[in-house]
Amino acid sequence: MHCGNFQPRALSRRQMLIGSANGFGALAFGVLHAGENNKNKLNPSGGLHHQAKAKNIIFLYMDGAPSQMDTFDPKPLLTKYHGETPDKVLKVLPTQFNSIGKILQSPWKFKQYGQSGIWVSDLFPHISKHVDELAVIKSAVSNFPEHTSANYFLHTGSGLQGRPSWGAWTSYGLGSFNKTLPGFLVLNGGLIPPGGLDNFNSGFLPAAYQGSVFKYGPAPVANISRKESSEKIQKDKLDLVSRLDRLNMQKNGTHDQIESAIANQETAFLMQTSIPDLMDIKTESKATQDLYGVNSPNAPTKIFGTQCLVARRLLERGARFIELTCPSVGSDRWDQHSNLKDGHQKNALAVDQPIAGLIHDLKAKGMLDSTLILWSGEFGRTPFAQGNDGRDHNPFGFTCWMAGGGVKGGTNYGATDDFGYHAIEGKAEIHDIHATMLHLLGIDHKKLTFRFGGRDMRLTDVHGEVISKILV
Amino acid sequence: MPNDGSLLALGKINKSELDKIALAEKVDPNTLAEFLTYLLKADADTKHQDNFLAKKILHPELKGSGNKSPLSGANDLEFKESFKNKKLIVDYSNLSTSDWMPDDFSYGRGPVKIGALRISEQKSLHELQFAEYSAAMVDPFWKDLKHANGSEPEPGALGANRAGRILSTPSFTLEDGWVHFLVKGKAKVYCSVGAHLMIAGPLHGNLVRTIDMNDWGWVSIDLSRYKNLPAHLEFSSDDINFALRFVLQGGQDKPLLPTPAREFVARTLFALDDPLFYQEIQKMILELASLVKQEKVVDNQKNASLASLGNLLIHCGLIKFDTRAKLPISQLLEKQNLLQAEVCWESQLGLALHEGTGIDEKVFVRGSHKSLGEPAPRSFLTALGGAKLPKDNLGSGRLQLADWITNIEADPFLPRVMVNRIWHHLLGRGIVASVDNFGLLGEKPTHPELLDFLAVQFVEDGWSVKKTIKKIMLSSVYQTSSPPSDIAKKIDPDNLFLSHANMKRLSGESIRDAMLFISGEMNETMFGPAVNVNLSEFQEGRGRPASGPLDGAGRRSIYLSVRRNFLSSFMLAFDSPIPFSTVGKRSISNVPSQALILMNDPFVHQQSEKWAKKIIAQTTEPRARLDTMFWQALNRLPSSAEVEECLGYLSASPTATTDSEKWASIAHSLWNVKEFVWIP
Repeated sequence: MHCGNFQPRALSRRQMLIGSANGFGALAFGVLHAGENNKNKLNPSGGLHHQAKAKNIIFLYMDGAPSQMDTFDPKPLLTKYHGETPDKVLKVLPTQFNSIGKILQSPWKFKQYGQSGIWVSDLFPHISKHVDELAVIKSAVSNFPEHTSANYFLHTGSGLQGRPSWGAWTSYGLGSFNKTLPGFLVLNGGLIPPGGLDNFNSGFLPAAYQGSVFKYGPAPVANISRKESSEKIQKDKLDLVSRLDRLNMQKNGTHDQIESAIANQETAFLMQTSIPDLMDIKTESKATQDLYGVNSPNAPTKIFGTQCLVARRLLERGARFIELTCPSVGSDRWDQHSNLKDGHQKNALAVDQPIAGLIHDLKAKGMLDSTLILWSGEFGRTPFAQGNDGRDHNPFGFTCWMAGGGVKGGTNYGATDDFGYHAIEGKAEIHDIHATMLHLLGIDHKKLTFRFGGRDMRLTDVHGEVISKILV
Repeated sequence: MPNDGSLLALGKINKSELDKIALAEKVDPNTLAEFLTYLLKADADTKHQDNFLAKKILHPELKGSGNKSPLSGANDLEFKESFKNKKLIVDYSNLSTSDWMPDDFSYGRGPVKIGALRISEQKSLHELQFAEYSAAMVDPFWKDLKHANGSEPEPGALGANRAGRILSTPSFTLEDGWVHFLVKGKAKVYCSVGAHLMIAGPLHGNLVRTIDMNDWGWVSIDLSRYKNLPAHLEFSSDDINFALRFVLQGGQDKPLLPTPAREFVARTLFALDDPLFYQEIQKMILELASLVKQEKVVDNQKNASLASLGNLLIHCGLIKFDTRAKLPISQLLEKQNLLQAEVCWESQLGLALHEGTGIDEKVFVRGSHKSLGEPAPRSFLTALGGAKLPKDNLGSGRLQLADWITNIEADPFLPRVMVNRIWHHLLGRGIVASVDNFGLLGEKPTHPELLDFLAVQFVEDGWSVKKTIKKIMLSSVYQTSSPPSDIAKKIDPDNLFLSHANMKRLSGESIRDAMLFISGEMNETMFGPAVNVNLSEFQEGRGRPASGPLDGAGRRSIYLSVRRNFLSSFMLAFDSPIPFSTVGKRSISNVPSQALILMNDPFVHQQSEKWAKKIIAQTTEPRARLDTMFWQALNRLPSSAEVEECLGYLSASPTATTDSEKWASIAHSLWNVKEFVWIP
């Protein structure tokens, strides 16, 4: 894959237009007329190194790190030892803020759901209905106990700033199905995570693979709206440009780069309408909107529901990698150093119904099989309190889950100790999650490389094992 | 010396009596009067540092009593004993050169030695003073250094005024985590531990201490949370009273404080009989003189007493430097003023890194800092000779690394790499195409002799980048046009032998600069602070800076600020690299987002309008306008067909649009013509 140096797109415009269903003309048509039934036009590539199980990814990024023992990993011993000094039963390691309180039981009740009997706390009344679709990884670990580094690690496989985001790696490996859509999209719910926009960047990969951060609203990205007062004025101007370009080509001969640039101008023109169209969810039925919580009286639910619905619309149009960031719930994101009960309740309320709606809708439309959903924070939280009623950062064990394309639903994988503090069984490194994700997309994580600084760089560096037990 | 206690005890100084004594003692009567006034003040105030001494001189009848009350601090032996159980990190009275780690001159050239003469300034009164202890001290010479307007001081807990004022200790490994230091004055202390995260200062607030102490004291810091981590302390101060003597680690208990020098002087003298008293003072002054001359002096209470006594005598005008040391204070000050006039007091630049303790890192097995292998001694790349650091090397070895890299006698690697990059920028492909990699995995040069020729010329031209650029640009190979011949297409499809020019895409910076230059809006000022990037509403996140002006104040793109999370989206779209590592060769993408920028970016529209306005003001004739505009944007005149297209557009445009709108559209169109960005 692009051994040595990156070569810019070398197809001539002619070749592109001729080039079958994946050609530019067909794609532009596809976007303009993208509706509920166009998915047949967007054929999956079948993977890069082996048959793909999933053709695209939705990453539900739970900014701030939800607590494992309050969501999917019940620990009865926390109730038994509630209020005790943790040193009595645990070897307490230094935490970020080191304000170690007492053992803290979960404020929520857990129940088993579905055929699989997967445990879910009362925080997620909607998601719990879909547990038979989920593979719950209870043994995830991170290398960093602090948000910024942990976010870079989660997003790029390195704790340092500046490496390519996994979305960039994915679109570098597989490209986009759709020339009017970037391969890697971030739907910004309002909270840009610590570490900032560099979580979504292309690092040493070509700029074309950087994540496009879409805002909530009809003009989600910069420069998507024309500045001319009417479409005709802009069109006339661009027609003049085309005629001048043609004259120039007659004189100097054709050149691949010039032809691509001309094609890009035409694509860009179409994007001015196709992008706002895809953000416009008014065309969705009321039932669909309600399913996602788009009309919820709770504003954060409404925002996240809209993002989830837009994510589905993006899938239909061929986006490769879609990341959703959390909306602000008024207090903090999932980072409850204090007031765990109130904060987690609000954050759960914002995402529960939209995520359940997304799973339901994708399944109903037959799209879940080809879409990988990943739900994860950057690390977990401590079984003992920070202060009285919060939990500090804990990279030693936390829960994330996958669902959809190629994932064995209704699976529990790995385990933490009796207090939910350390992963003790089936430890899943972030690199393993990356390897698994790439595997499902038909990519061997050891073969997806880019030569930079004299080295063949990888998303998983020198690490990563596919977690095969959660795969179909 | 006056010893008429009865007269003076009444507090009345009789003028004629005084003159008589002055004459007898061969001192200036005014100086004597000043001295007496000082002594009377000290005598009346039991807390005055010279209370003992004043009593001794003014009340000889009190002989021998009064030294029975305990000393307020430890003597030499007790003092040293009190930190025997601790580990010495640094002792500024006995310092090896490699342990002196300031980031600039504000602490002088090294620690001040006991007995050294320094100009002190109190309430704008200057006098020479003997240093009463050996310590790292702020050098008052530099006290007026400051950040120039527009500089960006580091935000957060460490304080904005650090650059150029940092004194670091050597690195050490934290044992039980307790660190103690003997200090006075005002300072900020940053305990740098491991690779602790900095977010507007260190994440853990307890790593920063603010110190404000009138007198000497031990400060103890609990770093037990960071046990076994490497650490060093960074002191920053602009207080001329700041002084630091010892840094220790281990044990929670504070060591003792030494007895203040003046107190010790008084105690010593007080016990003596009158005749002995004067002899002793005489002896002490002689000893003091030899002390000053000595290179190596011991920091002990005796020497401290001598210096302290000297200071008292200077203070009261009884030692005059114009006769004794032939260095009148006024002359010294004059010299200092001359030197200070040469200093650039304001700067926007500060050192980001300064020399620390040299440590051989251990190999990170499979890249993990948690699985450490053998230490890897610092040395040059083995492929380039593998030179090793000398055994007696101090510090990090960065200087030696720079020497190795620039030693072209040993290896002409550096000029080769440099000229190859210049060639790459100008011709679109390096002679060695892998510009960042001249190693085994890199590509072979297409023209090795040319590479060496250019490298030799580069060095002979004094490493002048400009001369090298000029040399290449004046060559015929640079000036060829891009259409390939039929033969070239057949036998050299990749154009390795440069029979024609490679098509080039302007960089993001060049596109923006070209627009500014053409529109007449470019501000060609050199240097100065960067301009904030104009941020769109889509660029969000923590630490979002204020958005800059749309046109970047007309400054060249090199002056646009670079904040890693708030980069110019214009530059990013045109492949300006993410600034985390060197990128010798940018990728050249060709994507719709670039077209969207050229079509819709407000900056492009703004500049089109400015350009049109300029053209309209310059000429009236449409044909002449078009000639100028093509010449400016594309460096050639329009063909007749192009003129026809443009004139056709101008006449066919909706009548509602104004003349300036129409010409702005022409301007905008010319920047969207592919030839503007892709140079044939």
